Amino acid sequence: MKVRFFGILKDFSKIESVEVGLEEPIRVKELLNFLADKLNWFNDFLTRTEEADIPIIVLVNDSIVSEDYILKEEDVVTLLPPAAGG
Amino acid sequence: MVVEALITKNKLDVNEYLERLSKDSSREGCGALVMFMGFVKGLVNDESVSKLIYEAYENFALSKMREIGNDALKNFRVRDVVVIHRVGDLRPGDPTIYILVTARERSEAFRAAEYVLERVKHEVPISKLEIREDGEFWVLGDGRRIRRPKP
Repeated sequence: MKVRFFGILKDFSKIESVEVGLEEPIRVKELLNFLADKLNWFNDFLTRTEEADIPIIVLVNDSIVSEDYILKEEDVVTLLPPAAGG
Repeated sequence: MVVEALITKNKLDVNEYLERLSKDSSREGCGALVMFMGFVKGLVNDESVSKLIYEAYENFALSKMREIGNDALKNFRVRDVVVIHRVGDLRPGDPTIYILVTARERSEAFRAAEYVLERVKHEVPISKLEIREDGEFWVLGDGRRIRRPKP
């Protein structure tokens, strides 16, 4: 599974994207905890987003999916900050 | 009825849009066109801004802009909804967003244009980095600014 970061979240992660193997199926609502278990730096990333009070929006294959969606190896997940258009 | 959504680095030829939309919509009884144009502020919190860097998460942003335009057609008596957002490095005074709405009645056009603008600001994944004299700041949807971490 590929995880991509956008906007300020890319600054906080310090990378554009990361590939993560899925040994077992996980749901979207479990994604952030799963990544924190898998990747050492992801805890720092989460701490920074929480301290800055930035909610994370999760897209799967460029669509909003339910929190119970089961992620697959070929999915591309994008983590977005709140919109700031205009 | 037309919904047009575009993300572009370029400035819009506003006159071309005004002429085309007013001509086409007039044939169907429209007599009002409302246009909103946002542009880059040169001063924020008394600090001089040199540029704003806009980036769009493009595929999703475009589909969201079309969805908002279609919702405006459903919710208001309007004929055309055009939403154009610029990306790239924009300087103070440069246009950032254009919203154009045609309708038979001006009140519907004004209301629909505001509806589209508010939804675009809060729902379309576009990031905004403000480059100022006193540093670089990410601008969030609620206008909150977060100083960019130093590399």
